[in-house]
Amino acid sequence: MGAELDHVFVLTEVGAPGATRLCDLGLTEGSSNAHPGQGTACRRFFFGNAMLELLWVEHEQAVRAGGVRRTGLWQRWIGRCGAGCPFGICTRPTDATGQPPFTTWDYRPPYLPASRSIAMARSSARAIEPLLFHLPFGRRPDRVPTTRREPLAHPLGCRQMTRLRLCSPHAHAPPARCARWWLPV
Amino acid sequence: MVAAGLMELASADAYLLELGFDGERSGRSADLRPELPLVLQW
Repeated sequence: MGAELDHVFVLTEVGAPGATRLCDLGLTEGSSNAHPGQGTACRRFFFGNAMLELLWVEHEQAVRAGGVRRTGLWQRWIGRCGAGCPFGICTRPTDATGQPPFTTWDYRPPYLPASRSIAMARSSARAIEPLLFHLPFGRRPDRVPTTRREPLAHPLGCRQMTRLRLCSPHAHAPPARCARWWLPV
Repeated sequence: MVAAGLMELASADAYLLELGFDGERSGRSADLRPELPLVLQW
């Protein structure tokens, strides 16, 4: 089998004040998170099949160093209101044999155990495109054990992410195969 | 998994992400710009 959407991120200013708009709209915010050694942090909204992440850079030196640099996160974040694409799209396997729908390099962020890595698209440094990556260990939010499950009920009534449309000034040069990802329901 | 939709790519003057929920049956939407380059439809 292949891959399905795990989550999307939107790069925002520090602290993601825009999350308040989502809460006011009727979405329930889940836990926030930080990525030590990568220099980023986020606020998150979970749905049954996927997650929306508002992500920002907290430590410029970390995000511009070592293997993190190759992700292009800094270029996307600093350019998010102009030439940089402010989005990331993460997939996960649909089953034990699922592979990422793009060619990858092995990203080992400092905040993950040494046994785990993220399959980062080889196009990661192209900041005009969304950052594409694949979590081999990703799972649906509604299949996380209940003791660790994030809030999935929203007063707005949204339950599942069923469509994803990326509008881009560079849509004439789409990321490889990105138009063929199924959304899990 | 039941296939409910595809990621779409469209040309625009600026980056924008549209997220649809639950087949967008209610016909409602929220444009979160300028705070976020995001439109939700549900």
